Amino acid sequence: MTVKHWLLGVLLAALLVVTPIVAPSYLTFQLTGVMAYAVAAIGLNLIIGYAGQISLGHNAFFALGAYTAALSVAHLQVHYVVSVLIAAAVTFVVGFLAGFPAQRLKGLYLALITLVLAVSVSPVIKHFKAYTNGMSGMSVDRPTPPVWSGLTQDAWVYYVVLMFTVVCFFLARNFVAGSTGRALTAVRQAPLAASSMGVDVNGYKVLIFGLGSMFAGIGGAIFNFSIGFIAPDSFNLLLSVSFLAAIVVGGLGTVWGALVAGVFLQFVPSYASDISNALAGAVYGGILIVCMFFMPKGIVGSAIAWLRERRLAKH
Amino acid sequence: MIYFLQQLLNGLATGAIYASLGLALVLIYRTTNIANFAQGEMATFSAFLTWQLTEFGLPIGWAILISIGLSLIMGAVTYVLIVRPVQYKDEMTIIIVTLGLFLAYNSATGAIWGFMQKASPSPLPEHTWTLGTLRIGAELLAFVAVLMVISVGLYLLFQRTRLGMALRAAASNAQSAQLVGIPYTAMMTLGWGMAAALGSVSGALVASRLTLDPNMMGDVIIYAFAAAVVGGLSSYLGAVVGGVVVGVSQSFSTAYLPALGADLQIIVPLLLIVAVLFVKPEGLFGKAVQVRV
Repeated sequence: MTVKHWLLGVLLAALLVVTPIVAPSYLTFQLTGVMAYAVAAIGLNLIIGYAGQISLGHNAFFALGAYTAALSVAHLQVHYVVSVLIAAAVTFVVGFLAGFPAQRLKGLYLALITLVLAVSVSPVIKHFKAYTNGMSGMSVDRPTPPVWSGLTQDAWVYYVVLMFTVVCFFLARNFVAGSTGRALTAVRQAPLAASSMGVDVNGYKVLIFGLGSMFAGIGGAIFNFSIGFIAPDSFNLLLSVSFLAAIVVGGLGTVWGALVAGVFLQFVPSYASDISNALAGAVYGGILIVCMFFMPKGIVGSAIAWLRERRLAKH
Repeated sequence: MIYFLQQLLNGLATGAIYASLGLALVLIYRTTNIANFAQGEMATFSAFLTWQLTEFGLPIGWAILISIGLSLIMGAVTYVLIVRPVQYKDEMTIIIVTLGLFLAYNSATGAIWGFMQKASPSPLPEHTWTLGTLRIGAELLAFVAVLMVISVGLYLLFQRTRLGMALRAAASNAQSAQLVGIPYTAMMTLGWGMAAALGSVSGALVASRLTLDPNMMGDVIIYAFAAAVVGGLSSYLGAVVGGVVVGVSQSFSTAYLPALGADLQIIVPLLLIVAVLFVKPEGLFGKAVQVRV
């Protein structure tokens, strides 16, 4: 960490804090969405990029988090911050339990099971319509700014979501840095070698599945705040595949790639659907294939590799 | 009892659809060791091709035959352009690429033909025979007949012809196959082409039941995967048996577990896959793979 790094960090933090005050309200709203998606994307990146387990069921945990938070606000009358914590706890436990069968399955089979999970989300939500209001969806109270702050609701929501995002990125970064990160790399690249070095391969896989699902849940819960409305059809298979496309573009196995993924998830679908209804799918499909062909490390991964090369060249 | 038999027969008809698509999945898995998530969407594309040909004025039978031929080319081209460059990368890359294909085919269908449902012409007569109170539709007989023809055809191809032998050799050991002069890439390409052709048959079966719609294969592909996994993913017989098992269990769960409702039927293949993977991970007819350390 040099002085330059610190300055850059402070500048970035200042920019993040000032944005909702100077930026137009709609941009603030969109950036809130970016952060909510980014938090969920870290989760998928932990599962796929770090632990090397494919999951197509990320939409399920995103939806579980969103509905848990919304229902606990509606029925238990808890504070919105508490609702996110409840959502985090529930998705962690469910993800952790799902991790036990998941760690026994490899690649293709895991992809299949999670694929079934992905398509069952919206039927399950519709089935329990007594609670979830079925197809027509339910509205969620967005956090209201306290009077002393003098902020607009969009700005206040932005700050609440920003707080959760910072905490999540901090947790994820610390988790993958250091010995845990190295253990995960070993689990992904050489499970046999890892287990003979004393790394608990299956334990890590289960834990990562739980944590990854928890981030998806938190992402879903804070996504409620940004939109204020949830309906089953927005948690379809396309959402899962877009999460996948987004982290592939951002960079598998990089924490900051998730931020790129958030930007991607927020802006690409709306621009694509402006042009044509069918285009969103084609764009995701095309991006997935092109990235795997030409840029398997994604934007952040490639940037890191480029910086490292440049630094080596200097010495 | 009659009710039970009726449900069994209904399940059989549905199972034939899953089995035919499951066979396509097994064919690709056997030849290139890839699970093709785009198989269902490719079949949808083929079904729309058939519809387009009938719109041009061709009789339905010819339209289906030409569409099978076009699908063969489509599968081969897809393999050469998209799949071959990544075939030997890690499993994650391959899964991501076939998912990309899934989306690309889905939106291509939607972009060309639109997302509105279309009435599809059916080649099958609307006839029903009755045995006592048991109803046997022409559809059921036709589906089962199609499945039999495909299965016997594949069996004869793989066991009794030089081409089939070459296909098997290329799939089981690439290097040795090349050393004895088998055109390896051509075999892989043919495998994908044949799978797409098979898929177009199952697309035609699905379309003859329901209306055409770009997302019509969304659930079917999952049931087909369930069929293939239940059967062991690398066994043709397994895919057929698996298809029937999945179809019949789906029909029974609809009939005897009304609590699930229409929404939760999708849980059935999930439970089947999970059960098979835990009890016998290599599937009913698959061979356990031993990994050399």
